[in-house]
Amino acid sequence: MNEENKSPEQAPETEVIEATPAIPAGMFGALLESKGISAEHLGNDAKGTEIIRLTAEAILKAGELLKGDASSKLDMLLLVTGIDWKTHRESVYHLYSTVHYHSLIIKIVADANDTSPSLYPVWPAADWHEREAYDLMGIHYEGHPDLRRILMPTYWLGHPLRKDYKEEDPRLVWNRR
Amino acid sequence: MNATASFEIPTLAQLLDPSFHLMKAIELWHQLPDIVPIFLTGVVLFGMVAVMGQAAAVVMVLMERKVLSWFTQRKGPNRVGPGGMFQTIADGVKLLTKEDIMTPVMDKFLFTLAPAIFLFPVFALYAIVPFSESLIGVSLPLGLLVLFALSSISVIGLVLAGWASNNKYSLLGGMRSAAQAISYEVPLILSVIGVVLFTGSGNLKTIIEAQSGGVLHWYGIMLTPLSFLLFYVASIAEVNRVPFDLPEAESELVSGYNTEYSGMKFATFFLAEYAGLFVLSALTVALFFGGYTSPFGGTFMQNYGVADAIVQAVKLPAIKPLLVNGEQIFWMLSKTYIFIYIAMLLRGTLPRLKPDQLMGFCWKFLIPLSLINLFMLGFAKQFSLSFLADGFAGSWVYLALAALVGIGGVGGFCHFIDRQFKAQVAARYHA
Amino acid sequence: MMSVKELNPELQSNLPGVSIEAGFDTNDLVVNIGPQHPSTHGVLRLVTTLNGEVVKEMEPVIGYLHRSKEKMGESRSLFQYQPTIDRVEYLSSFYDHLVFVNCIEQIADIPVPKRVEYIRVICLELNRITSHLLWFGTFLLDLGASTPFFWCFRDREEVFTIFENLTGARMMYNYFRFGGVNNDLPAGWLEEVRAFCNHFPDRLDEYEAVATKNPILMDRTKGHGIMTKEFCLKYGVTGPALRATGEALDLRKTNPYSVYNELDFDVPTHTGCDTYARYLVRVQEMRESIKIIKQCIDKIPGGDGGALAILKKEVEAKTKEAKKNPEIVVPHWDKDWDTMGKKINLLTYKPPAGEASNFVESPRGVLGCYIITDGTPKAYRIKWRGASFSNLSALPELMKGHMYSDLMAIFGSLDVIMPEVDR
Repeated sequence: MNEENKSPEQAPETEVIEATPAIPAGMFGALLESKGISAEHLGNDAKGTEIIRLTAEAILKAGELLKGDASSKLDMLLLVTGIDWKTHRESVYHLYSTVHYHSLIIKIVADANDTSPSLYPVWPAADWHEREAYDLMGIHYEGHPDLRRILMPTYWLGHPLRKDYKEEDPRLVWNRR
Repeated sequence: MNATASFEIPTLAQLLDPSFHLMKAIELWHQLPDIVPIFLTGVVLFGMVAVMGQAAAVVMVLMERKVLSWFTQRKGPNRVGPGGMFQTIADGVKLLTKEDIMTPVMDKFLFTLAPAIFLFPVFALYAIVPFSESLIGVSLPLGLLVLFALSSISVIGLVLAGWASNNKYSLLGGMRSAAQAISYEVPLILSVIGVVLFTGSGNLKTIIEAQSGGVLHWYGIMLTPLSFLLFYVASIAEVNRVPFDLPEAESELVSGYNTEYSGMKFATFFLAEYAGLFVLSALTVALFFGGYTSPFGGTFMQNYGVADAIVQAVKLPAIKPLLVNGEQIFWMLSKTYIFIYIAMLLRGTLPRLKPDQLMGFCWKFLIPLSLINLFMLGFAKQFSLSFLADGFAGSWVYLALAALVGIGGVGGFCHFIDRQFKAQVAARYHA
Repeated sequence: MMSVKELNPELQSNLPGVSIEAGFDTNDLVVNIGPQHPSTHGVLRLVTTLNGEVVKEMEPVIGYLHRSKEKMGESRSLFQYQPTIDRVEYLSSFYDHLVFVNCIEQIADIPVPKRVEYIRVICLELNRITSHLLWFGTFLLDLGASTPFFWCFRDREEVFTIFENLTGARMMYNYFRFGGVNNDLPAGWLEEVRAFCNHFPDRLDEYEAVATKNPILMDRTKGHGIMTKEFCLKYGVTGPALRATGEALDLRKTNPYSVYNELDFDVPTHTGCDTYARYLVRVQEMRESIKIIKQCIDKIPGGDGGALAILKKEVEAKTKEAKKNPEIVVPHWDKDWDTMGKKINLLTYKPPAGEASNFVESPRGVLGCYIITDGTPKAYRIKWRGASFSNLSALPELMKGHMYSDLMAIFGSLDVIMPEVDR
């Protein structure tokens, strides 16, 4: 996932860097902007992986583009993480390309109702990962075909990985006193 | 019968001679009312079968564990008794004293009946196994027919066990065992018919005596090696051992038909399986490897006058049959355990087949092959009888013919069937 | 015969994949394989609809081994959390530590000495061998061959003894630290590893002689459980399963981490896409691991731990003396020979706020960790990516139309272990 490990034919792509006031767009950000999709650039992480934030409206279109475009070919979804920022919930998608061996992190902020668009239509691998994020973090993925709890029992109350989660389920033995 | 007339007071010399007592005992035996010997024969026979069956199973369980442990770089059982000798007995005691668990959803009557149905025919088979020329429960003129009749009963026990347990794994195991046992019965019988064809008898004792000329007269080696292989493979499948242990495939069906069994009922299944392996190995020896005769023909005791020499040395003419029978039992058991050992080696080596492969192997390979084998044997019997006088030269005629026709015919047939089958499978996967 | 409803009315509504009210084809048999079953390798439940012996539908039910590893990470300091992450994937727990430790190293920018990297690679590759050995044994056990299982365990125990000599533990090592390892190699440890590397390939030949060309095994595995590259991408399947489709995706090669770019090894691939191809790839990977370990033993800076420990003591003593007496010559000590890149008091360690994600090639596929820190000793969010989680999600589609007996072969070839799925 290092920048320097990109295959040589991709090297010219990285040169097309548009300077935005705060953080310059990376390779994927530039690609998205060239197709008219606005993305918030959050810079690179320590390994040089580009991080972008997309809006719920743009994500599916951007996903199709990132997956299909010859220069990005992000065809594998590695990980979906739900994060509870106390004020809002956020989904983080780790994407990887089995063609160019580069990766991208996409962040999507869920709306006030904890609803976020599902990336299942683009990357079917999101199926179980999004179910897990729903189960543990309570983010509702719109467009997911089968959004059920996956790790916790079906009768579980609440979403355990939220910061405000209290183990108050009356069915737990230690809450029956 | 005049029971009172012949009683005389024996002399001291007579009293000291054991052969005198033996003669007296035999005399007495013949003077008893008819019903008593019949009854006693029954009791002795039952006792013999029970003891032989149990003892063989106990020895074999230990043997199997030891052999497998040598295979897998372990020591095997070594805590109970010297070298773990009494491990099986300890296990037996444990199983006897274990709680017998039955779930409320079971059919309790059938659940209890099933192990008995499985055990009975296997133990009954010991009656026809000739351990020596005298130690044979019943020497029936159609002993082979009894073998097949009895061995096909035990599958009912497995199906009942699978059904009565009310457990899906058990049911699947029971159904698999039904399909398997019925299928493999066919090559089992077809492969034996060749032996009957040459011997002209279904009596096991006659079959053994026909092979008493030593290794070169053993059917399994010189006359019908193919029949032997078919019989052995089918018998391994009959007793549900690796690689044909699908009914109790532990990685798929937990334990198959005996999943729900515990305590002595489970032990009964266990016992019956080992007893079955013993009986079928013994029958393999009897049918194809000269039974109780030595590899050099007859017995040493008779051929080289060893028995006579011993009798003269100890001056007991009555022990001659004991010596001869003893040697015969030795040969029978040694050969039987060789085949049991091979079955154990197979268990340590091979993976398990799949149900469709199992059925395919039987119906598309074994049965055509045994039919062709039977045809070839009939051909050899009909047209080269003069070569077969000593059972040696004719066997090569047979082998050559079998090689020519067998390989071509079976190969082509199997290839054709296999292609059809694969096309079906492919169609199913793509559907 | 009682129905499911009578037996347990509460259970009825919670049976996934089974709609009793709607009724189903009476020819179908719904079998609950697991959670306790000899070959589900843990507590996996597969609600399987069988038509005869053919699988019609299958739904994995997971979560029986959920130990809330991610929640635990948020409730204790990184140092307290570290010993528990061995249990994320207990068959190759060095990998868990590596991703975790690497994430913190990235966030806090801690340098890692060369010697540490080499020690880590030796541990990782040995651990890959133990993991694959366990897979080899259980895979063949699932197919009904009991002997290789014991053989594999013999070798696995040998490696565990090597690990025990290094870390003090046989399975739960807790050996890697932020920017280093817990202790240097003990004297003679590298020779132990070398001895193992010398005799292991012969043993592997022996195991392959039993299994690889066995006609029953080939019949049961060839052409079954076909996963194409598209199929793998659809479900996020990685690791040997993906490499068995001919796709040489191995993060050690494609995105080298640690010192893998200094080592010469091949990525075994196969184009069979089936169960047998996955088997061959894994067996070949064990041989490649041996190759890597042998190179590491030759290349490791500082060499064996015994002489280095003596030198280190001397250097420390001489450095102290040199402060008083500048004439004393301190022996040469290379930075690469350290076992810690930066001194950290783990009890009070607070990594800076930031986030890092790290993915490595574990024996089962891409193992990842995503950590967000907020400047406190605890992590704000820790997320694990278990390769088995994605690999398992492919099973239902993979099994459709196969025989029930194929389940064990196909499921076994995915090498799924449950602690990694449920975490």
